[in-house]
Amino acid sequence: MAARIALVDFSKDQISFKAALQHCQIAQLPDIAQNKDAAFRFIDKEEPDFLFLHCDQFGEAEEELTRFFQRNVGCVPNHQFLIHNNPKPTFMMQAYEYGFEQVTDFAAWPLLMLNLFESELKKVKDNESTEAMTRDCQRALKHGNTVQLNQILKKMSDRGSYDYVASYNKGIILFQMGYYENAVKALEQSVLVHSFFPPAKNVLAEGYLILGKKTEAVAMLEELEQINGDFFDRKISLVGAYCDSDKMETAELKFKEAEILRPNSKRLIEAKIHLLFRTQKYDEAIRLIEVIDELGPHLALKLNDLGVRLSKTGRGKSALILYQKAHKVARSELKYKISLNAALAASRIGDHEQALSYINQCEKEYGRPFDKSTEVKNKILEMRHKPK
Amino acid sequence: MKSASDKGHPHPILLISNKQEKAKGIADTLEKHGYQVILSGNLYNGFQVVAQEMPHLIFCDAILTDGDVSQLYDRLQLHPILKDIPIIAYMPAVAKPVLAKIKNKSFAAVYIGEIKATILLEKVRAVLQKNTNFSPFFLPVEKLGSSENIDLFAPAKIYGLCGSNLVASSQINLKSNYKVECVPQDSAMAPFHTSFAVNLPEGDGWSHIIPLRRLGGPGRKWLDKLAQIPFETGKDHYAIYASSESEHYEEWARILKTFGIHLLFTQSWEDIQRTVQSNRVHFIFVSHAANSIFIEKIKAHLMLFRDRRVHVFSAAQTLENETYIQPYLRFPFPLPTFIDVCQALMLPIHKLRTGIERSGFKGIDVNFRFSTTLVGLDETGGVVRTSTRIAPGSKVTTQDKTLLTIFNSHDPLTITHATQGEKGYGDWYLHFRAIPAGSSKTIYWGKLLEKFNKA
Repeated sequence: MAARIALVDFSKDQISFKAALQHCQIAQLPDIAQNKDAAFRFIDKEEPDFLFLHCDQFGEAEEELTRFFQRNVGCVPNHQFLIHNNPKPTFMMQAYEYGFEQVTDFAAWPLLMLNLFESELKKVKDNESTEAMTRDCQRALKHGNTVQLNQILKKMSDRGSYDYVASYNKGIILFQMGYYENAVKALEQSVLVHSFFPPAKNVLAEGYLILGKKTEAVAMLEELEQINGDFFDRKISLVGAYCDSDKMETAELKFKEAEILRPNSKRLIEAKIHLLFRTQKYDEAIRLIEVIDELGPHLALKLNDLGVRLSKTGRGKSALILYQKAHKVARSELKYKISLNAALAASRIGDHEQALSYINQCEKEYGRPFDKSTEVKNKILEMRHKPK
Repeated sequence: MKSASDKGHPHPILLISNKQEKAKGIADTLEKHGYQVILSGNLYNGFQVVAQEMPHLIFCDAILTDGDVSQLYDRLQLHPILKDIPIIAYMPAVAKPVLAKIKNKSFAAVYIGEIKATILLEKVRAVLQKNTNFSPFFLPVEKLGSSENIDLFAPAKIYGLCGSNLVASSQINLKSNYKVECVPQDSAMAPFHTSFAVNLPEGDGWSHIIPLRRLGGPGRKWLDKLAQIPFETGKDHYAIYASSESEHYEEWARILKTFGIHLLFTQSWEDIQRTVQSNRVHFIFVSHAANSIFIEKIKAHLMLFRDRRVHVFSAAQTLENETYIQPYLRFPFPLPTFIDVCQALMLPIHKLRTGIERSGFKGIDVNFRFSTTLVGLDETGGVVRTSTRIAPGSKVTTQDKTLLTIFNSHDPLTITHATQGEKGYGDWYLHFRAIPAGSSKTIYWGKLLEKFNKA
């Protein structure tokens, strides 16, 4: 079989799945990854196009695995399969939040796989297909190939009016690149074509929050919440959304609900920071930043705003400390913005050397100089040469 | 609607008897069991019918007014194509002179005594058992040296949009995960394709509700410009979740509520009946967990649902081949597919029809192009294997050069019947007729064999 498949078994009853597989009569069946480490190693090394996941529930480990898989090939519903003998609707819904449409049982999955493979493999090999473009986009983004990335994004735009997978993946790429307005447009297109596609709606709601469209964000998140109230990531987004809307009681309530779902998740701290920001407990919030693993775009935006405010009110050193902390935990695609703001803050307190160092770092993180970075750089150089 | 014969191949049987009443009785019995019966009152006419129709079995009285069964046998032995047609010789009682005549001839069977339906059927089945699904003249594709993959084109109509769904109709049952290309007859319009549709039985074929997002290809863009079909919709939308177990019900009810569908749980046939009578129920979903007694009751009362325009769809495998139950979703099914089906079944298709008629729009003529595998040819046409069902009587066309040369015509092929493949799930044999009605099968088959022998 020419396709690269990740076959992952996170279920408790791994033996019966293995036994069922032995009856499949599929030549060259890949090894089954039976734990998280093995699955991540395989995906990292082989960059598979297809994922078959056997699991009892769709929890934190399954979500992490899916995100990791999608970092290589994007989200294509026909490339992700769940194997479960008696899935509950809530299980299916939880998995659908990550674009898993196909759910199959022990008996049917080999036949389903063989039927789909013929057509899906053609698509993977055809560079003009949505599936191949989605994969190539993700890889171009991963390897910083912006020329290729822009070429593919242009092609994806052409089919966005009717292909929700293309516009969703385009939106995701633009989101990761920090082009929130265009990302929102692409995601809105995806939702227009497929009104019930939770992955697009979840990210779109986050995009709305970043663009300050709080009402739209809350409406979209609450609509999904009615269908599936067990999606942890959405609870976190809702805490941020209600904080932005000054509805602190509801925000607290959503925080508690999130806490019940995943009491040990580090993303709870992100939600806590939203709450602390709203109550202007900045010092406590900044202390917590060091504890979190990853900073999402909505919170990164708030930190940036706080940094700008501190810097503009003459507390440039505090702003720089904030930026340094935020930079450590920000997602890689968000780091350049923090570096840019740090350069401005350093420049404002007259530390031009540090400002230059930040702006160089910003351009490195972005991949190349861009309009805003060149403008800031020129300003710093001008200030440096001015007599004190 | 005409249902596809699930009883196997409708073998033509020639019945030669000069006793009209008895012949009619035998014919009725055989026809009830899916056989086609051709009656002949004497041997002379019998010979002509054999040459014309190439029956798969001849049931012949041993003694006739113009001859006897051994004469029939001898005459057929002289014909290279017809010599292998099995003959059952019939005698109401043992007659030694007759037995002496047929003694050294290879009859398929000799039936002596009063005709009893069970014995008759047993004998017929025993003779035809080697060819349950195919004609005994059937030539498999391996022997023909023809290409195996054949695309067929079935006529269809596109009527317009209903919300974010495309409404179309055809005589082909579009199946999930089975790609069908839609080719407009107007060559200025680009084709599009789909692998999903909700098929609602209507007339001799099906109405198709296809979510626009499930359509792809270059022709996708012109579909957005189609007009919305005007129709009135009610306020409350109810549906029934029929199962002997309540497992999964509450979760489905919560999910469907967000789509404006109120799902009601029913645990017995009486419950269903009451609910259907007191609410405007759009569809009944029979869960995979429903037990067999419950399912049998639903099956027995399908007419009630049809009369009340209530759709029934199912995840219970025993209902897979019921024509009125559309679609069958094998559990576990994809969540968006379930929701698409529920939403499509909420559309009042009869109101859509009225809307279409009122708008005066005649529809856009298209062809559904679907791939098949040629299994072989027989004395009337041939057999293709495919994953989808097509209504008997439908006309299809092909552009396959080999087939067009064989049939020496561009006329449409008529689907005579569909039989389910031995593997069961999702495998259909479509039997088609390529020769015009009234033409001699023996002449056609003789020419065809000659063509292949030369090749």
